[in-house]
Amino acid sequence: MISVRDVSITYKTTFEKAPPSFRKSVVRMGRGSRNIRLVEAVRNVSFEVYPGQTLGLIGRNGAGKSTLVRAIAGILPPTKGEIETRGRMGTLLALGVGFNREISGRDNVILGGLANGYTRDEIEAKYQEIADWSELGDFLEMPMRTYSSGMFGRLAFSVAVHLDPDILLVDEALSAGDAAFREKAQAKMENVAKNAGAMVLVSHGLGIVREMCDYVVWLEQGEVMMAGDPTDVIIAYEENQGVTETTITREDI
Amino acid sequence: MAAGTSTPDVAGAPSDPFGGVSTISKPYRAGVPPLVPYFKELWARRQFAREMARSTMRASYADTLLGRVWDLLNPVFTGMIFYLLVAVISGGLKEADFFAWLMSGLFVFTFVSTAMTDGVKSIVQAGGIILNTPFPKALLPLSNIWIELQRFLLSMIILFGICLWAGITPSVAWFVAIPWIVIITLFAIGCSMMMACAQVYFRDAGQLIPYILRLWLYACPILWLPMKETQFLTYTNPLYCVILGFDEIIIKGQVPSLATTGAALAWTLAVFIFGVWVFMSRERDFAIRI
Repeated sequence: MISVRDVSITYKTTFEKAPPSFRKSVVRMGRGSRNIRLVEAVRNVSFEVYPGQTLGLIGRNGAGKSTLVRAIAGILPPTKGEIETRGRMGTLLALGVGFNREISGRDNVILGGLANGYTRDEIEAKYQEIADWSELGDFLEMPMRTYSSGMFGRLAFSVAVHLDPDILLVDEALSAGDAAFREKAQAKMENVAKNAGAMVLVSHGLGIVREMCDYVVWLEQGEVMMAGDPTDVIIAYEENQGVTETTITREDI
Repeated sequence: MAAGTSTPDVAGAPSDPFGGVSTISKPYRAGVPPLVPYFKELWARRQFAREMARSTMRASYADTLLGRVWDLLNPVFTGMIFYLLVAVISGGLKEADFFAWLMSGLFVFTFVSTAMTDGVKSIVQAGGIILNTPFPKALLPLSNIWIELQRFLLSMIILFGICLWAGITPSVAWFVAIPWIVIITLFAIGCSMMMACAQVYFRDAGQLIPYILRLWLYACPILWLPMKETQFLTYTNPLYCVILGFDEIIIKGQVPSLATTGAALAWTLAVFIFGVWVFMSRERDFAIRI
């Protein structure tokens, strides 16, 4: 179960268009200032996701979807409000698959699991399943810098779903995979959702959101624009965007 | 599961193989995550730090012929280079026990300095795992410390050999070295966390560090013996008494004086607490800044 209560997230970030030139650096140091910008990524958002439900988060790039999912994951605590989650979490986030490129896929699976709070035995017990599903074979013993982005994605997905999460957070994580993988991944996600897991799916692929989600939240500049039945929200969103459903909006997860 | 931000309470059915976990993440009070749950999570995931250390070490020696033998060779080579330097500058070879003095100080300094140079990279280079997984980030610098501590303890074997060769008789006081190594480790943890955090905000830190370390080395009683004129360093160089105390234990075979112990403890606690506090109060930002 996920409960998001009146959550706002702001953060400061340095804002630089390009690496600063030597002159600019000196001038800036003289002034003693750095370009700092306050980003209000999420504003007063509330919703609940119950076991067995899948929530879709849609919205333009920069609407705050990824930030919100990271807050649910517990990576970025909210600035205001609170988020309650019940159950083990599996995360599959776009901004970075949690892997160290210098070490082997196998070591990464174990490290990622340990960081997530699983014990070594729990991970070892699931390892074969993870390895088989990812179909990476001998690559698992090689450093991950030798992997293609599709292979990265497959392993990350396999880890996230096979550790039996009660909550699965998926953020645009499947776009690197090929068609066969996507189909397999979607089936697996549906399976997780069926096993009474709660799922949050961030996607620009409106087709898959409509297919998989029970409830959709449309974020616009950090605020909830509309929430409710997938079909209604998606139609409103598409009208607002000035696009109608095409193969492009349909396909990408 | 939210690291540091969470109050885990077991709420799952016992049949659930992984145990249900409930977390609430709220804004931090005063910028620091709640301490008790933070350290609980940290302890619960200590295996991660150990595993991380193991795989980092394996990767760092991946393409070398000698592998972990370098853990023994590195301190020996550095010691010999510095001994040569001192011999050249002072125009003549020094006695054997000076070599032991130099080595013991140098090993302590190397522990702290590598903790800093590795600490600088620990957050910035961790990348993906910070963006994707909620866990107490302090585990990353701590896993580096775990590596450095192992290397330091290995170098103690070499030091033992050097002491015997230099004619220093083993002393009962050597047992004091054990709590003293705890002090050194806490000192290294504080430094490492400070640097890890500094690098996230100012990438210039990594550039500056070699110069700072070189200067710091000269300000420590390693390449020279303490005199009356160098006593002011007790108050200005945090590492001065830490190294001096260790030398007194190993080389002179005596328990360090109360003044030395007091100063070493005070500096260490200050560095440790400041480092950990800075790190924890900035931890939320790491996921945004890197």
